[in-house]
Amino acid sequence: MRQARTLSVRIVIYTFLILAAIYTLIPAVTMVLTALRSPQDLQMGPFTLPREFTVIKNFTQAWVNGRFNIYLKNSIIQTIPSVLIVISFATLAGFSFAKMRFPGRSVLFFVLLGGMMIPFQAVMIPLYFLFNRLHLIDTHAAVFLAIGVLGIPFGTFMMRSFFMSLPNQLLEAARLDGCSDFGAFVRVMLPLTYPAWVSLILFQSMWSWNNFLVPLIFIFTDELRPLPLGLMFYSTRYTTNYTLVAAGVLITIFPLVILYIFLQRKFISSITMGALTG
Amino acid sequence: MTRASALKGRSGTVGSPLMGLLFVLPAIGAFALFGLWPIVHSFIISLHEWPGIGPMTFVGLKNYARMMRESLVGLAFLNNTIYSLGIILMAVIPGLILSILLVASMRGRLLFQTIFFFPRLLTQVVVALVWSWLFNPVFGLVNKLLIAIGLERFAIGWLGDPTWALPAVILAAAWTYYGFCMVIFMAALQNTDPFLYDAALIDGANGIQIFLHVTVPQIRHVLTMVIVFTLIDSFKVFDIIYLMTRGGPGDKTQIMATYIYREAFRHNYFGYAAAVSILLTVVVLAISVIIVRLRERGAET
Repeated sequence: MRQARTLSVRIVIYTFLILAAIYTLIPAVTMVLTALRSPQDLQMGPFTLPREFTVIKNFTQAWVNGRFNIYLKNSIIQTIPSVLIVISFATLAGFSFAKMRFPGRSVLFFVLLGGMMIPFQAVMIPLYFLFNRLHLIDTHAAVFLAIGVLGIPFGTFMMRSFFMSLPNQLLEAARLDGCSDFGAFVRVMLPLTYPAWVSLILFQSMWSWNNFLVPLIFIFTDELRPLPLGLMFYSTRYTTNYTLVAAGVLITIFPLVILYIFLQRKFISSITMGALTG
Repeated sequence: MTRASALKGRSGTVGSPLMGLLFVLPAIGAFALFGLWPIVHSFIISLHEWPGIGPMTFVGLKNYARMMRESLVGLAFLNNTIYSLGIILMAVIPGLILSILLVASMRGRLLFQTIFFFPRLLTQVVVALVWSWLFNPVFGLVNKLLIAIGLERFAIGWLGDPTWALPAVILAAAWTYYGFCMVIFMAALQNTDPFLYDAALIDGANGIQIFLHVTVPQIRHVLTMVIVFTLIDSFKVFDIIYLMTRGGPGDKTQIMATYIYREAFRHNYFGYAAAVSILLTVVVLAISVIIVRLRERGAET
């Protein structure tokens, strides 16, 4: 009796989960199926078998004529420096807040914590004019500086929690071995930070790669647009050519999906952690 | 010397105060320039009338007065509120249900988790594009399904409809969010006490009673955190609305962020837009204070 009940309960649970999974995947499947077929084929609806596969043509058209090769390059150019900014600044500051004492420590930490709550809309207008005065409007630098520096508070917070979890005995031992304080940081602490760095890199790269509002405000030339922005303008230019837009979508999400497949646990934990401290 | 430093080590500190300061200086300095000064500057701009070029005209609190009179600000605020309630209804609660089902299931937990979380990876541009297609009045899947089950009269132009545009956008946004909520709830649920469920079963409680009286109280703290976080996120939202409706039709889906963007970068009312952005900051900070309070209370118990 009890067995039967758990079996029926199990069937209900799995039916529900599978339906939810189908619902979650439908938009993605629609996109993939659209990218595979020819434009003339599309009117049959996305869930019919394509009469003709024009995958290669769709992707080369998006890649070359749609200039997704340029957008991809721009996304990389804008993402990497923003990640480097966060990693370097946040590691130093996080270590200091976790393991060092200095005047104004709690005040400065509180200021950074408060900074995590500031909405970008509250700083975008002055930031636009600041970059304008620095002649950075319509350059890669405007995008990676804004995205990188505004990611510092969260990065610092995360690195601080990480360093706090490392035992102080490590530093003591290093000092007894004759390391200077800086040497202890570089030779003892830094080699241990790789796992924390992977989380922070994933979080910041995703934030940077997917960012839309920052480049929307600071970039005006098509040559400099990153993928999300390029995709938006591309889709408004080719409103009727859905197969090409779908190919562009797949190019845009491809790098993150690959990373997600290989590092999903790390990805999920770093993103959820990022949200709950923010 | 050795003893002194060993003592220092025990209290958890290294380095001289100067080194400590030098380590935080780059982070604080950069953030002060691009994050803190702009807030102050925003407030200064909000006290002026300024088209973006030329001299600024000091107008005192005139922009704030205009903001209080402007019915669109009220509408935007209302839409942000509706949006946050919609996300709680369409993503936070489904996320909670999914997490309970997934914790109860034996196999395939990782696979389901991977699938449900996946939309969170996508840039909002992609989310907006895909869902605009699904909602397309002519070839969109939503209307095709409605027609297939004989509900032609409900097959409308969703994103162009004054009543249904906002719910449609919320559905698209929720799609990227329930898997994320689910992961957070799963972590909390795995820390709950399994004996309480057995006890409840022995007492003859049914599934809904167990959910309300055993599960929810145990994860109450996390649930509140997620809801408050959702509120903050819902007041900052820009991308999905801008991309799917541009605030239309006829301002019906205008929210604070799209309104600020339009007033600043489309109409060049920078002073006025800065004033609205200060209001948005105050709202977000007020909600954040709640979160800090809750965290303190959670730490006490």
